[in-house]
Amino acid sequence: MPMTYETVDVFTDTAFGGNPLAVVFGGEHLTTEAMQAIAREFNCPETTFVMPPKDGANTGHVRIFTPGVELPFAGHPNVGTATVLARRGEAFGRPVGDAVRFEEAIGTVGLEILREAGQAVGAVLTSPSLPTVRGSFDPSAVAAAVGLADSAVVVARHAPAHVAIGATFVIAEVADLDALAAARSDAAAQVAHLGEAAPPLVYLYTREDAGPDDTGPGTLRIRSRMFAPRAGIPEDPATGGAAVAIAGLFATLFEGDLDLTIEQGIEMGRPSRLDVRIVRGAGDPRITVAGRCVAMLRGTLLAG
Amino acid sequence: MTLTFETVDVFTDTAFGGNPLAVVFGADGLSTEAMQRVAREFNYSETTFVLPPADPANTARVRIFSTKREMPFAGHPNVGTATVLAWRGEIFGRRLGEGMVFEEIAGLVPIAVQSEGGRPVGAMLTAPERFTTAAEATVDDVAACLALTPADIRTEAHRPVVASAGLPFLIAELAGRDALARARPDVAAFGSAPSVVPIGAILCYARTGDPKAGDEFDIRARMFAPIRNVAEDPATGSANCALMGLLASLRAQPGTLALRIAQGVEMGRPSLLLGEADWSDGAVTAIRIGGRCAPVMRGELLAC
Repeated sequence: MPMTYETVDVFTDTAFGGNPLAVVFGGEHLTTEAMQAIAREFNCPETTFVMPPKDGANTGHVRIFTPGVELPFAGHPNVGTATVLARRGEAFGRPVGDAVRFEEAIGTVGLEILREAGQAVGAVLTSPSLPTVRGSFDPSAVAAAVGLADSAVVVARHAPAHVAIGATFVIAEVADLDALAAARSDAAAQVAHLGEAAPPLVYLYTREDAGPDDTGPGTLRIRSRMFAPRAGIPEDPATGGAAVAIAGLFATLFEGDLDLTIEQGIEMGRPSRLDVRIVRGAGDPRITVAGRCVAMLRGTLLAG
Repeated sequence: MTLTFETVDVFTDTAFGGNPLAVVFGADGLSTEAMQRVAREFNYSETTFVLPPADPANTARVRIFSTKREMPFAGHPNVGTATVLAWRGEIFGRRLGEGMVFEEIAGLVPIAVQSEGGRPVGAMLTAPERFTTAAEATVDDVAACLALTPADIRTEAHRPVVASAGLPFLIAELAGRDALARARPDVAAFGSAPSVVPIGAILCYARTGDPKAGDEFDIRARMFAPIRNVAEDPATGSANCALMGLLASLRAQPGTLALRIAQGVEMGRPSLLLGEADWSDGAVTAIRIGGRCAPVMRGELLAC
């Protein structure tokens, strides 16, 4: 049986925005090397392979590849794969309902399908782990690493932070949209000013409204850019992992629950929107990331 | 109107080698901006759109887009598009034979389909513009851009020089396969070396055709254009057209120079380009480049 695939733009409701993803069906027979070759051929930021689950209680076994490596977990591939399955309506002979569970290298990953008028429009991912704030970076060094003046990096609420959620990020607040637009993705500058050992994923954001004070539930709207030139990604249009990481950072700054709206990818021409929620119960906070998806391509693999 | 597409790997007979290309059909009503968005979504080095010819004597009008801009001419998109058309056997209600002519911005591009056992396996194009050379680059600049030493650059036959048969490339001969394997693009040098900056793309090659060395190729080449977002290209038809013209002009013997050129080996996408250049009356009179293609995917666009 030939392998089929669909591609979707994730974290957007507009075609040609968001972050592209290819979802491949019928790849059960493939070796890891063959999956990697197909992911490199798609040349999407990530490609997933959906296979039958080992445990019948789960929806599918999902493996995630960039063009270069297999990932244990990533945000936009889960949101996109869940939405594609929900639109198909069934997976491996069973209906896909509003709750989806994927078996992945990191463990079991749960998502909830977003529906409007009965149609699946996106999915909500619950982060399987919580980010940790490992330390901070000198604001002047971060400014220089992205080609900005010292004053463009804002430290009133937090110093540029080193946050880990599987991948590790440098997260810095910048003064305004002009500073965000002026920032540059420059591998050499990142190494020169932050050092070889610094995380290669540099995430800048600015507030589009004042946001909550440090108590009580609130809402906050930010615009962000993610530069990873050292990882071969000049700029990423929508970064689910970074959304979870910044939520973890904000959880250390604010009391109460938080609804965080992130706009990303606008400067590079692939507008994206990620809706993040921090919910605190008795124990650790729970972080979810929601996104919409647009169907783009559908086809058959003739080789593989 | 549904847009359909096929993808092929060009300059190889093995899927996941060569240089990928998407060929889109049914795009007659699409604006230039929409074609650019579709090309960016495919994220291949080039995507072509096959449109009805202005002059019915020609096979088709072919528009070529990189992820960033429309191209007047390029090599692998022509070889791939012609092979896909030959497999289909007809276009715009007419049957296709061994010879095709594409209308492109650079002019008319004649293409000969190559078949084995009655089945098309590839194609060979004739470069649309006459061969020219322009400024030389310094050995030091080229060595810096390729992270090599000046001793790795050979200058006996020619110094590093800009050559074009439609698109200009800086062409540099290296000392041998070892230097070719060690070459890697230094982004900072590409952005600052004065004699490289105006072109930004280097095709470096080594002569490897010594029968005693047992190499099945006459030339091994690599193409780097990191400033144009091509860290390394697996198979560059236009650059090898320029190389063929340069080598024929240096040889200065009446007749046809024919060479087998390997590219993309070091980056894991092995490609074979068959080059020909005619020399007579003191000038290069025609340059052809060809190769095989492997089918990879087929499908339709769901959004536009």
